[in-house]
Amino acid sequence: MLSAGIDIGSRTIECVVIEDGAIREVRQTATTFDPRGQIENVLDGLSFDWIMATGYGRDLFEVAYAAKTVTEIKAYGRGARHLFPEATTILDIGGQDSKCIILGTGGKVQRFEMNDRCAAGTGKFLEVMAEALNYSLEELGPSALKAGKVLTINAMCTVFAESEVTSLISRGENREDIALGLHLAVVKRAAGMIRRLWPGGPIFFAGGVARNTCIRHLLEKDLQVPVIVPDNPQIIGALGAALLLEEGA
Amino acid sequence: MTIYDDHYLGGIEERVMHDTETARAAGAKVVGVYCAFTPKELIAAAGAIPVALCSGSDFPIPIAEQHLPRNLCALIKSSYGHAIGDSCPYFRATDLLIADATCDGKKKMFELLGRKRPLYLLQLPQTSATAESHAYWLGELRRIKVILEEKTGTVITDDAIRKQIRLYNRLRTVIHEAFLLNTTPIPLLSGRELDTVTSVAGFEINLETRIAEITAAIREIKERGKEDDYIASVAGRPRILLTGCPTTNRKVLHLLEDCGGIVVAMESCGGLKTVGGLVPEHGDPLVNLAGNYLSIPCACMTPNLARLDLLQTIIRDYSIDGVVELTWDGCHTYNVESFQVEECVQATGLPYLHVITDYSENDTGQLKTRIEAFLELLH
Repeated sequence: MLSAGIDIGSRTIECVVIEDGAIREVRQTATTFDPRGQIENVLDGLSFDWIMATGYGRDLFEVAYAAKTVTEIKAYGRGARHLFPEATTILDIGGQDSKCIILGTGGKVQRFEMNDRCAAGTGKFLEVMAEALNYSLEELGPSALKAGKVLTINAMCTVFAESEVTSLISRGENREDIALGLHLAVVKRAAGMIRRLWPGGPIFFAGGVARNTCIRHLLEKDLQVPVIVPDNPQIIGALGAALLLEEGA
Repeated sequence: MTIYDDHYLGGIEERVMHDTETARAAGAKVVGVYCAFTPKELIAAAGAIPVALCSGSDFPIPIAEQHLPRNLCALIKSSYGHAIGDSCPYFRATDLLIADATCDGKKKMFELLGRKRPLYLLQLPQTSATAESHAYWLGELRRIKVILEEKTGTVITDDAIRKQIRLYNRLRTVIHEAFLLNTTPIPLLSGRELDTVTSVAGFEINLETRIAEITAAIREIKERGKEDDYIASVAGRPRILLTGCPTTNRKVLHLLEDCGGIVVAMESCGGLKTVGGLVPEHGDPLVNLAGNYLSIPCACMTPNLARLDLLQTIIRDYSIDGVVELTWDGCHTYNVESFQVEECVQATGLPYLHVITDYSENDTGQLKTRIEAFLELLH
């Protein structure tokens, strides 16, 4: 029996098909302005017996496909445990959300925290800042790692931070240093969220921002523990949804 | 099965509105109130009609922000915007306002509101723990009593106050009874229904009629416990205690229930915070009123340990599965106090969710995810 999980996020859509807990197929695409159309594209020709949706677009999917839904929090918890059975602390930074999830015995979500409406310190923040510094999103992290000095960015609001970046540029600061300052600001916020809930131990880091090597490095430095990033950190939610479906949750 | 919704309440509100117009035509004054510390018994004892004013809508906020800072709590901005924008029918009917100096935002807003209507402020002490603050508060009630006598041309006798104390105690008792329907294993009312059933429906006139209506509703609601369809509709839903700021705007209450929870108890103004304690009916009526009202466990008081005791009692009596704390963004007192509330809830072993939001709908997606994930924890 093939079970599918689909994670409809603000920036990307991932779909994972599993059979007896083993991944059979993975698909990924951008969400764009037309999530319905993109969902159709992702599912086109994909074979599965049933499907569970997660992510902020889960309700859209539930209505259109009469599918079951689960929150990202539960789905990420399940997906993380599957890849890393010892995981207790999960950090997920996606396009517009950041979440910290603590798993208890048996992998059940024990506590969690999530940002409010503001996208400060999420993928969207880094995307806007990359553009302000004329980097591609992929270049941003590696460039920040080359910084020669530490600049402090005070604003966490995307709009205010952009003005702060502009004033640093006009002050003649170089862009690697500014990029590092921005990464430090994101990490300070994420580490603060983790510390409020953290029982200690390694961090399992998922979501699109986990691809950023500088964020991962700075998190390890700040928290003094290993930060584990799976091969594809963006499929954890979809994988978790598929697993929960297979297990009848 | 009667559904206790806005339609049900609408009919009652119309009747109350009509009764009030008749009374006003005969010379009765209408006195608007805001917070729970103002003893309505005193107003009613002067032959005037107390009324709690609108504070729950999002739409008057832009008008309010012409005078008030944007980062003030939505409840205060909404109250002010409703008043100056003339969108609260109750405010329109008021002859004067009696307000209470609770939080900083409210007392400073009242200074501006006084330009729109004659406003008399009860200076509230910040603690109920000392004899000095009780003496001070009693002095404030005496001062307001004189003002009410002047404005209404009525001498407020002790007997008149006692009569109102007895009446309002009966109202509190019947509202409390409605809440207590949810202490059974099958909760008999949702949070939104509790809100409706226990509402005084605007002007506080002919309360006898309203008490009889609530009593009748309770009698009918009790039958639900015998109906299989009803039992099936609520069985297994997580039992939530909603605490924190007043649920003047119902977006969080609605989200909790739309996502599958059932709000079996509300520890907020108008809820269990203000209906639990009755005013003693013997002795000096003003002293009795002062003592009862000053002990309301609002976060503007310090210390406010009585709130933590109340929460623990509710958690036990209502078999609560999870506690949700609502803070209107900018409400410092409840926001800071949430730290102690979380500790208190965690000591009971229950999950706790703190929601900080305002009246706008633009965070509904994120709130829904947080609330759904919280409810998933409870299964």
